[in-house]
Amino acid sequence: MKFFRCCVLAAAIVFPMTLVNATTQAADKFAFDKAHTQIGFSILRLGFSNISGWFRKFDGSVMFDPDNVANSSVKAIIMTSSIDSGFEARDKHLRSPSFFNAKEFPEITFVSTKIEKTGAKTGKMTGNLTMLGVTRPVMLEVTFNKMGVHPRNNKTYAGFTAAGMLDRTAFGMKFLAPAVSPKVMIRIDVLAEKK
Amino acid sequence: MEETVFEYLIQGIGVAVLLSVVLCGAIRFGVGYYSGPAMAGLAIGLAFLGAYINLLDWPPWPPVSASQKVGYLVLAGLAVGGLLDGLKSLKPIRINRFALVVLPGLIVGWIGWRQITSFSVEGQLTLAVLWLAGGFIFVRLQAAAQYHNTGVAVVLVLAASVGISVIAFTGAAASQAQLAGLLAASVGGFLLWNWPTPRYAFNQAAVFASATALMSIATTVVLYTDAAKVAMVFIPGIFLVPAVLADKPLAKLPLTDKPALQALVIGGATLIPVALAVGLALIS
Repeated sequence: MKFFRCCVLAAAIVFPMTLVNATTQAADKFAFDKAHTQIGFSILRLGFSNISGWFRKFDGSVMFDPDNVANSSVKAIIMTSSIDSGFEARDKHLRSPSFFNAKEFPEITFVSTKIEKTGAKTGKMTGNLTMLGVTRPVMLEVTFNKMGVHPRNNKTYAGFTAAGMLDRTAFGMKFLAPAVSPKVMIRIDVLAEKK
Repeated sequence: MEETVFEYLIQGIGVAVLLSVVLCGAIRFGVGYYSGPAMAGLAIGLAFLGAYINLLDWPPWPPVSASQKVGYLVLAGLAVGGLLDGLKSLKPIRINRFALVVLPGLIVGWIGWRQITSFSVEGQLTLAVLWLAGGFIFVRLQAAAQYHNTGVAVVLVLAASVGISVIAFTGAAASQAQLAGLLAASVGGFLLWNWPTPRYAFNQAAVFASATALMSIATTVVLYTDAAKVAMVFIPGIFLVPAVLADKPLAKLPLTDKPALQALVIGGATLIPVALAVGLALIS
């Protein structure tokens, strides 16, 4: 009887722990495939046309749980000096203290705080973006494109598209606003490899 | 590019000049005949800060970027200078010792703390050179204000700030060029009251506010922009001009006993180091 009680007690302690382990292990780690990931932005200049650009150097990871999206998370780090708008003179200006101040703030970081599902393949991701030493919450609309095995290398990949808008002046980037719009459109296309 | 020029000219310089002229007159006539002329120099720092706030809004505390620190540093310089003007009993030599060591060190250390913590030889060397240059500028500007007329001191700050502005602009650092332009406009407005006849003293408030603004902006340009750092070497040379011309060369020139012409001659001579600095920035 005493032995039976010990067994029940042990099971009562161990069984919930297995459930916890199962839950945390359901989120798999995916690392950005940098060759097939793009982090871009677009800004309206003087109301005439949009200037688009990209950040060429970055890194990031996704903890992705397709069965429980709220259990997922994203981290990314972007090298500010890698900005590329297709025109070197403008890029030099963008790297200067007038805009991204790349020498003083070499990195932009993003850490998600909440991901909620809004549709079969869509969601809203909220996170803290730190740019120019200022941290502000931003929200991105996320589309989960696909997860599967790549036909060439047999590795598992997941693809996402995220889009949103942020106010650059909220981060202290006020130069030439509002002539150059304070609203910046963000578009991120991620291919992430399962690790 | 066009909006950059527009922004630079109208929103920056125009506001600074207007504020400087109005504040100078307001202080002079508001304070009165006896103390007004001695205090009018406050207008330079106040005009710079007013134009700075108009352009960038007052920065948060604690400030995050170097540009945000410029506002607080100039405010501190203005406060220290104003206090020294009030404490008239303090001897100039003690002021110089404070100015030579403490203020440049504060400016360079606060703006360049990343270089300090990086422990790189180049970074430390750059900070040391900036500190020395800053101390030199403080002391030379102090001497210009004390031993020459107001016009001379103003012209030195004007030349230095224009030089830094152009160097920053060539380095695609338009916002720093703009800040240096604000300083040039602030002293320029003060000069309108003091040329051809020097009416108001280039007091300690003017010295400290001007030198602090110059040092803060120059440090930011050197550490955080792609502007030609070697071109900045010529900027402290501007403050040597009165010393070089003070003795026999200046005495031999006709009519230079008139303060207005003295300021003009020295101003003309400062164009040499400014031209050297700008030329080097353009070819770098």
